[in-house]
Amino acid sequence: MASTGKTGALTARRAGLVACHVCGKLQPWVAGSECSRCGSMLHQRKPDSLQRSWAFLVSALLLYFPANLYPIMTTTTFGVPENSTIIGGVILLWQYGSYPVAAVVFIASVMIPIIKFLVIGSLLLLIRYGHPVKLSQQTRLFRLIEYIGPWSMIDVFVVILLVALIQFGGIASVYPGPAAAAFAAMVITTMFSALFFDTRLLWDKL
Amino acid sequence: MSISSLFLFAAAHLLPFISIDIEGNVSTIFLISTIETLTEIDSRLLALAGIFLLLIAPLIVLLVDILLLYRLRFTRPGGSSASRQLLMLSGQMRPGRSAVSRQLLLLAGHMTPWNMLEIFLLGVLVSIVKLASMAGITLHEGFWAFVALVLVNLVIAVKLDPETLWQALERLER
Repeated sequence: MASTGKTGALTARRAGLVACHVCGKLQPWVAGSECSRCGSMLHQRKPDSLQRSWAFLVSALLLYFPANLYPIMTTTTFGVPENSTIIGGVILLWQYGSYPVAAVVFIASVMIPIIKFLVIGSLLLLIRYGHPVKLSQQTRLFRLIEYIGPWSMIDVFVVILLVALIQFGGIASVYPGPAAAAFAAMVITTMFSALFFDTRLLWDKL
Repeated sequence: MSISSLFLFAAAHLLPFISIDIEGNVSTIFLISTIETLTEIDSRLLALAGIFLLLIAPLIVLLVDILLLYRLRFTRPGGSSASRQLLMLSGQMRPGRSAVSRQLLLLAGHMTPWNMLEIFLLGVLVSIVKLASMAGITLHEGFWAFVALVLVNLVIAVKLDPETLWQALERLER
């Protein structure tokens, strides 16, 4: 869809149609009606999309700091506790020579959240202040972000697994640190932020 | 529904008993016991996240898929005598039942983004690499079952998109 007809472009809204944002059925738009297929309320755009998306994005951003600064887990070996952060874990993996794994963890835990913040944040700003440029690229970028978002959960799952596995009492035990919960919460809030974001708002610029 | 859905239906039917199998290591653990341990040491948020992302969401998606495929298959007119009987039985409460199907499909749609089985698998692999230098690791049947589950889930996700189900449901209601 490379229609660049700035204002004359035909959109579903201009054609008097609306796609249900729950099940995706395209149907004539009647204000306040329900989807003929799934029975959800029809909205031309997700209600309060921008506000909700912003709210979750900001909370995620706030959670990002404790998630990276606090220890994600504590390993107690013979009674000596040792904290490790996300970055610490990546560095350790790198030193052990497990470069691919270190890269995966680094991308999933550090890069993906940052990229998500940047992309959702800039798209939100763009909807407010921007001009319609490369809309299909932006939409695709958002789809990509939406898809890779949950992959940041890897580190949380690693902690969950290690905690369950390594419980040898005094010899060696692993406990989750405050960052684990913060990190999980951060991933969940960024996912909500993406869920509430309505890409159609980008196309309204046409 | 085509032959492929019947095929997937059979595959999907095999899944539930796979996921409750054993997952193991030197100190052998079950998949479920990860959540147990988390509750024991009082990190409720992580336990909740684990239960929801690894147990509830995938299970709901899977069950809804199975139920709907089953229903779509056996309420089609012109099937075998057994399915015709089923059709007749369901004939009276048909509107109510499709409302249920609709709700189920809506629920599954809401659960889909939270279905994180494949991500957990990557987490498991990372953990294995992390531990490999310190301890001997034995993978038990549950791990392989989990790998299979992730693969089959992937196939289902590719082959059976919600739009197909919605359209089939719509045809049924007409």
